[in-house]
Amino acid sequence: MIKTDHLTMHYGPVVALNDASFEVRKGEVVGLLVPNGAGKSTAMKILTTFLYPTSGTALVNNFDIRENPLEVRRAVGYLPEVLPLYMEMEVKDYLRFVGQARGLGREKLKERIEWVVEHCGLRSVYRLLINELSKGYKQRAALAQALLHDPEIIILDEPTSGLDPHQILEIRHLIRQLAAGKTIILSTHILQEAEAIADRIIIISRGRIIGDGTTEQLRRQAGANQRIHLTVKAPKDELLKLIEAQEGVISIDINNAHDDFLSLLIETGYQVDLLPVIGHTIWEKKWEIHEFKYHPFTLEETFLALTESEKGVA
Amino acid sequence: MIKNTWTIFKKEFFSYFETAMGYIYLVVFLLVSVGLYITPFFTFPRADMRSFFSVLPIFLCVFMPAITMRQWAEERKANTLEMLLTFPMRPLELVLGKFFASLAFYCLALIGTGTIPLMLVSLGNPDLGTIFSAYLGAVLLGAFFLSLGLFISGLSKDQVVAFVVTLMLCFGLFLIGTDFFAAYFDSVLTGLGSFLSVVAGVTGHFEAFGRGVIELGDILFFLVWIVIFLVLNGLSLERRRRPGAQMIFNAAVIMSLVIGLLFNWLLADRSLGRFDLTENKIFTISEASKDILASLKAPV
Repeated sequence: MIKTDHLTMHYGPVVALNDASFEVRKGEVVGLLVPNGAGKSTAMKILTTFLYPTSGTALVNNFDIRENPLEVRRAVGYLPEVLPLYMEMEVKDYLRFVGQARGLGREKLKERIEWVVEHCGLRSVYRLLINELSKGYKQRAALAQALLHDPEIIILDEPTSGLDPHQILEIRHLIRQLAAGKTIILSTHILQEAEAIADRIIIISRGRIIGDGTTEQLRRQAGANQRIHLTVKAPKDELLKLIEAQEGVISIDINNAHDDFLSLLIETGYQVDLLPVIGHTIWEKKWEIHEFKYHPFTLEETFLALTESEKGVA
Repeated sequence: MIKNTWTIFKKEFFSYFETAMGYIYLVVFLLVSVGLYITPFFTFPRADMRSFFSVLPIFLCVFMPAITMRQWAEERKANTLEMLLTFPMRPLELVLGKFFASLAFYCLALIGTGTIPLMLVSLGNPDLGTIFSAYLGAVLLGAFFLSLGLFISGLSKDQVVAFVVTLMLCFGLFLIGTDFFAAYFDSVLTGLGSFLSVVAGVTGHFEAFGRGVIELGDILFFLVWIVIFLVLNGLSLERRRRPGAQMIFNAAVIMSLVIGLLFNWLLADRSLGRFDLTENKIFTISEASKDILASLKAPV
């Protein structure tokens, strides 16, 4: 559905995108994770033909963004990061204008406005000036604009920024609902968000794609270590000796928990699995276990690991 | 093409009336233009609108930039430009929609001044042909300033900058068309002043309409410049940030200006056809005069 081919974008000396190639298949929801200030939104602006890439190109819905921008625009619904709203218009007039500009006929327009008003929850503000809306409703109005012509491909730049947690959940829910049959790219700098909505995550740092895959794949790619969280009632020295004797242990972080319990965070290499070995010993010595589990790296840590290794390369 | 332009036209035209600005603008325009005409009218009543149309270009230098300044600058500020330019429309369709909307708004203001001819008809016996042709000239002159203003608005991020730059350019075009400046430039470099006043000065071309004579060359003068600025406006939107865009755009601007100047220079010495709308055809040589002229022995 979308395929970029060595996209590069310079703003003067600043490189916002550097030789970025990725692919998004039909029906996929892909999160573009870009740390703030690193040429954010550039990829989306190029895919929507708002910007013209310095070099490289992309196919959107099988149309080249450089050759056939009008066809690309027809297939794409786009929510820019800065909401494109006419403050002096009513929501009703705004949606009608967008629909006409998108070339919807009278009947179709009525039907689609009905649909977006319903699904974006705009019913109560339909006859208000956009100026008078709260941030959350403005966001929804702009989202409705992107969905109005029932596009095959939906490109959302920071769709939940500036919303309260309740609204964020609603918008995420809406996006997941839309996901059936549509191809969606959304950008965000919030990792949980990418994890929550997207099937796949593409991480761009300083213009380069440094990660592409599911959260699990990204963790593996980052070479993230394994961690085990253990809370146990045991003699400290004996326990430490036991763990340190194991192969592949990188670090042990000890906290004194309540009532003689020790709380340990054990970090090991990615391939090492200490759980069965230590578990067996503890079971033999009949120490009282309170908590004993894998403690996976969060996406934040994966992200940091990926960006760190990138720095190392550069 | 027409559908898209129409969509933009509607949105633009009604946006003047979404806030109080449009109404305030109309009221101020009418107060100033009609007011300035009426004040001396009762002292020296004459059933024509010469004095109205002779100061009109100076008004338009101020009022036209005020219409166009917001047109692109505002879209930039609200980021709706990003939405407009990702609609399945060509930039020129956007430009035309905006241009015709501003023109329609201006025409609305001009229609408001129609109280003057109505009053003249009821009080005396004005030459309606002359008034009609002067209005036609006013529409063309306004359209020229609007297309220039739209182009400038497309280049600037800030409304105020767009306003000031457009005002200065319009006023400059007005001044180099006046006899005083033409004579001054002629004294600096022979022929320069009259060349500029013919190819770019708006005053001379506009005044012909005010006399009641519609010269095809004058109409073409305005149309050529309008088309050039609209196309340049479309081009500036189309080519944003493309590699080498700045150079190509600059080249296009220079090329267009040269083409505009040349074209009008070629037109200047030709009579392509004219319509004398005055009541007694006072600017047309009558058959009787032609007979007399033909019988003259020495060249006049």
